[in-house]
Amino acid sequence: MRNETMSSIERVQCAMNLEKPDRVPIWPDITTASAANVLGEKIWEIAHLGFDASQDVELKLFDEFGGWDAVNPALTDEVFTLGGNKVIKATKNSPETQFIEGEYTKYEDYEIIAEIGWMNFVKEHLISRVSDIKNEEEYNKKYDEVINGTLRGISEYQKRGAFVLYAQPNNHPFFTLSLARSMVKFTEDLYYRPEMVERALIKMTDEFIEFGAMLCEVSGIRIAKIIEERAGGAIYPLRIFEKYWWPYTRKIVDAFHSQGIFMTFHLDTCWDKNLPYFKQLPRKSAMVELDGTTDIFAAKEILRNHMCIASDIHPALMSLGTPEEVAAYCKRLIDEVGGDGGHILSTACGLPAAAKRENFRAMIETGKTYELSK
Amino acid sequence: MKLLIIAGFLGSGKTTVLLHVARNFVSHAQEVIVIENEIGEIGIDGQYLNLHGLEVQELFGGCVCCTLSVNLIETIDKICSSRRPDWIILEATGAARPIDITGNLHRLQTKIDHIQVAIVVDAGRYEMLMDMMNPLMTTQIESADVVIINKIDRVDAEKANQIAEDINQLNSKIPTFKMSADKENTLDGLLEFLV
Repeated sequence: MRNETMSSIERVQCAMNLEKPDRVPIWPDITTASAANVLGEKIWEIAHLGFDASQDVELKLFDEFGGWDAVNPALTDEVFTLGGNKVIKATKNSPETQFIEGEYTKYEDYEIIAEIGWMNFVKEHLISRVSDIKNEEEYNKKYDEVINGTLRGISEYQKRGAFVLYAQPNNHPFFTLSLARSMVKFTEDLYYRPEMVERALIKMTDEFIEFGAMLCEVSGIRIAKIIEERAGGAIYPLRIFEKYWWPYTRKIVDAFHSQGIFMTFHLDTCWDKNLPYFKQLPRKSAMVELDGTTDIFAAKEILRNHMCIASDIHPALMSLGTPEEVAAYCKRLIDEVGGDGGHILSTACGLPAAAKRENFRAMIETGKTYELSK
Repeated sequence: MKLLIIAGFLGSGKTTVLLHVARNFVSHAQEVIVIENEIGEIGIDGQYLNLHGLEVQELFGGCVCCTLSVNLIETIDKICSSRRPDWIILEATGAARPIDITGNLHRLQTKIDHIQVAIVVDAGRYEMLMDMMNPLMTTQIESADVVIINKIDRVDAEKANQIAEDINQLNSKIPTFKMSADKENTLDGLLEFLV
């Protein structure tokens, strides 16, 4: 077997630059729940101990498997709560964070959001509707805990030579409003009274750019991550995507690109119809993370030599499949999506909480050895 | 053991339909376990369903996420191994594609003998949702075994018929039931179909 000739950092940068590294860079996209499961620990105990405890479990998994290339700091319940989501912490019977969708905002709230921005709206209005955080002081205390924990997580991974992909992700303004208003109500708003929604989207887009750049500055990580689970062609027709998602996205990417900030898109559901639009973005300005419902092999043909792709080992495969099946799919991804570079071997929508230890090992080992042993 | 997946958007009346169907099964000495995958409709949650004598497992999720689909499968698998009720009724999130759930179930080869997918559509919102969320609505209807056109009291008879015709154009073999789910007698046809 050949020896590695690149560091993890060089390997990931190489893939993001659409080149072919010595071997495929690996980013299993673990969560605290999945890390705990693979380690045989109890997530429902860890989740109540705060950010640092979550981060430590993820670091422990990293160390136990000899590390991998790309990482991200822990993404805890607190991060989602501070973003304005209603979450229920993991329990023994339900060992994963649960998101509770509801109508936590009213139509009138769009006007407030358009005036004061999403983050101030969360602090002043929404947080008390979705959590037991009662005031700004409590909010800020939690926020500081998350930021400090994130910076510690980044530092620990950097000491281990890993490439930190991003500090913390943020939901796309479209997705943020859909979650806070509920999907049907948000869709009704777009259908009957879109003006205020658009005003809120404009304000939130500017805020997203400002906050994202600030986070990059504070963390030293020049990559911003954006999450979108609902704007894809499997849910909305292209005319909705073209009007309420794509222009705002372009504005964000263009602003970041001009500041030397790379974007990574976490795209859930099927984006087959939407991916051709991504060719309008500057070459090498972004990466897409697909969730196993988009045809990744067709995506490669569309985005070849234009945009890096983080792949999509499906949660069902990681949880219900066999190590042989995981290894076979990894090899196919490495050959077909990464054949000419521009590929990071990853899990679809994150490593599931129910992933089997032997399947996780198969993914990491195949990524580390397959190309070098050819 | 049978699995009934009740899917449809938040506010379409899934929980009300679920309650009527589950209570009917229980009254015929059938053991039923409910998996709640969405919360929100008039604050209904597992405790509310418990009050109606139903055993409930809550498994909420705010996204379409494939990860959640796996958790559902695991929950169903555990129920199959430990309890083997006559019926498992799953109330799926509005954004769910039942085909993703059934696909994984077939892969896992659970002890479920029969799977039925019932889609609940809100007659009052049908036109808007078909226009605004056509891809998801179409996928849901195409993968259904039965479509329940709910809240027909909110539209006139002609509109209700038009919705049924529209659904049959998407899936010609699919039976449709028009009902106002808060009136139990309108559910008789659906109950006969399910059993």
